[in-house]
Amino acid sequence: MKATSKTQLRATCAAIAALGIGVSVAQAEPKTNMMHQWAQGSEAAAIALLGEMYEAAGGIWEQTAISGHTSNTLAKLRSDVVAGNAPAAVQLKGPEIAEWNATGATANLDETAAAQGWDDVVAPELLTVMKPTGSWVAAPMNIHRVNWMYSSKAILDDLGIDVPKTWAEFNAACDKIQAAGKICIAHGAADWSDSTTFDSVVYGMDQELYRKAFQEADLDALRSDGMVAAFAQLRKMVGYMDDGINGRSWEQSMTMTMTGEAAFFLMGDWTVASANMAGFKEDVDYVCTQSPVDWGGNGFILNSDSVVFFKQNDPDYVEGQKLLAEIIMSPEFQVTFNVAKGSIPARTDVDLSEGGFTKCQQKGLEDLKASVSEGTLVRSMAHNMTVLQKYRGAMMEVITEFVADDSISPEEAANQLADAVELQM
Amino acid sequence: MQSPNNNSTGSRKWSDLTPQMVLAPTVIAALIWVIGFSLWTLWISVSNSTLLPDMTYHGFEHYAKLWGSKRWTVAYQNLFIFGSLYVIGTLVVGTVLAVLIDQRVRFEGIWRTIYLYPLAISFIVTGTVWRWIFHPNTGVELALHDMGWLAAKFDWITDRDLALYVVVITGIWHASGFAMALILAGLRSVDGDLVKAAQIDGASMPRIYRKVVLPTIWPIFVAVTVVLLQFAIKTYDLVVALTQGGPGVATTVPAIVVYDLMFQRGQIAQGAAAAVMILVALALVLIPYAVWTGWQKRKEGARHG
Repeated sequence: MKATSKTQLRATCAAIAALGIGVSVAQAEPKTNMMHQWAQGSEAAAIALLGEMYEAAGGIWEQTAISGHTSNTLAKLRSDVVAGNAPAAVQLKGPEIAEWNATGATANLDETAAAQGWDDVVAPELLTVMKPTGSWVAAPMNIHRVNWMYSSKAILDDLGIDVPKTWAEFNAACDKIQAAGKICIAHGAADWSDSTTFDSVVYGMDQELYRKAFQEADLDALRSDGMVAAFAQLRKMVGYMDDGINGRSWEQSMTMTMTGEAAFFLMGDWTVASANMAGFKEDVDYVCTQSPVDWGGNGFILNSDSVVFFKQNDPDYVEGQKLLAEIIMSPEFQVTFNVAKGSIPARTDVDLSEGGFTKCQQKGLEDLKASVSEGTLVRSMAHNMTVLQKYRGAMMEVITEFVADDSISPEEAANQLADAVELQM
Repeated sequence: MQSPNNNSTGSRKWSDLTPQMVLAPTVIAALIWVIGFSLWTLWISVSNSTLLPDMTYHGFEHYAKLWGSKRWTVAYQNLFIFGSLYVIGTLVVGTVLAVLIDQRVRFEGIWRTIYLYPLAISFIVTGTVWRWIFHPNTGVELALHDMGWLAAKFDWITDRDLALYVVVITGIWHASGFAMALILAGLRSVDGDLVKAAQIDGASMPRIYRKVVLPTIWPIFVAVTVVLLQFAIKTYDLVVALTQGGPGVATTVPAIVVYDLMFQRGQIAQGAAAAVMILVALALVLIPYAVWTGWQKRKEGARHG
């Protein structure tokens, strides 16, 4: 694997060097400083690859890694922008791209995008995110799938249960599993993980409702009968969890499913990277499928990391941004980066059969393509890909309260959800 | 040549000015950072700021939105419940510990160190360890189950009505050693003759503590209360490590809401409004206290005059 990525690296460098000569102005010396939050582990290794490729293509690479929560990155970015010293490239995602675009501080990448034909290869749901007002201001690095369901192979085999495809089948399976004395759903309660589960529930029950409610924050949709039904399903699912969900991390919940203590685990594809690193095996310890959908077909809730570019005065940095954007969008980088991070490329034209992608990742890309052609692709609310943070935060508060407090009825929850969003308008 | 007379007035002037000059930097710093930034925050809270600060006037809508959100009302209520239980609990436990140690126990130094140690541990570590202790899957409940008592139940941390008391207990554990140290120093400063006089009058030891010793060191209780109150109001990391504000929003405290609004959700104005409300909470406690001490002083002055 190491050897492959090295050859790929070399190939990319050659390709990019050729591109660079063609596109860039000869006298400027491309330079960049990228601000990101990937300071540790496989993510730091993945970003180091970007630096290597950048330097190999003749650029001068600098990075500012801010570990911990996204809010730390945002605080630094805010003070830099206020001080008139915006960084050249920042890892930002979802509606934050539009918010920063609205401040007028972002750079325009249209020239590079047109030259490389980004519009044709990037997953269509991402276009509105990367081009908030019609111009490219960000380059997507990857696509994560949020609506995965991991099933414990041991429990399914023991009880003779097939992987459930609809929520009704899911409930039936859970009743069986609970009767057998096992935990049905492994879960660690937190606002984002409760909302991750709820993303899958709403989407799986009614994708139109999901679009209206979670992508457009439509108040009537948030208050609708469909939402009440989704909350009722979530209430049922809380009953299928054990008593220890509070204060449990997602890694602990993952292990519960991998070791056969619990049957199902609903979580994004970063689970694959962690599970494989912990020594669990696909199709031996766990099976990955999409979380149940009641409307048949392939569903895909996506989450994407991206890099936003901010306006620069120094021509070296302007040139450097072009080079960085080209490298990020190159198929070679998308492959090496995503193998390391457990996600799939943001370009839909990349072949995943080579380069070390796992079966789950390959299945992820197949399902992505299928959902694009079926028109079922959506963005994740729980992972900050749809509405502004203030609406998302308001929604997540209601969802996590609902999971924690069983005295809230589904009708009340749907009303609270709509009220909380309306309050922020 | 200067007359010696002149010289001495000059130096007296300098020595008069020295205290003011030494204090001046602190006073100026306090003016800028406390008053200046409080006013700045106040203005931000009625401005148009969202992602970036924007100083144009907007109005009091941010306050209305803040009070419309359930998370904030829960957090504000928690501040008062947690604050009062934490301060009272810490004072009670601290006093009991101090009185016990005051009985000339053996190895006093060791006991004092043990009780004072929790204060040396950061809130993050305190919160994480107590989360393990309280969590049914890792702590006391698991231990009881392993010992064979399968019906044992100790899941306060996962119960939304009781989780706040988990925070209170952890907070008290953390701070009571600090209260003990200050109160013990106070107890030791009490004149032995007072105690002897009371003993001659035939009062029992508990009665002597209650009626004679503790009342004479009340200023120490005030000092400890003020320090604990500001601990309570700025509580953030303890809750984040212990419960993450959960279950649901049951143990959220205002500092968490302020941080979220300002740094995570790009709502600087609403976050500033929440910060101003924390200041108001502090004022609700401190203004009556200031009025009361002022009134006490005037009473004393009247009595002497």
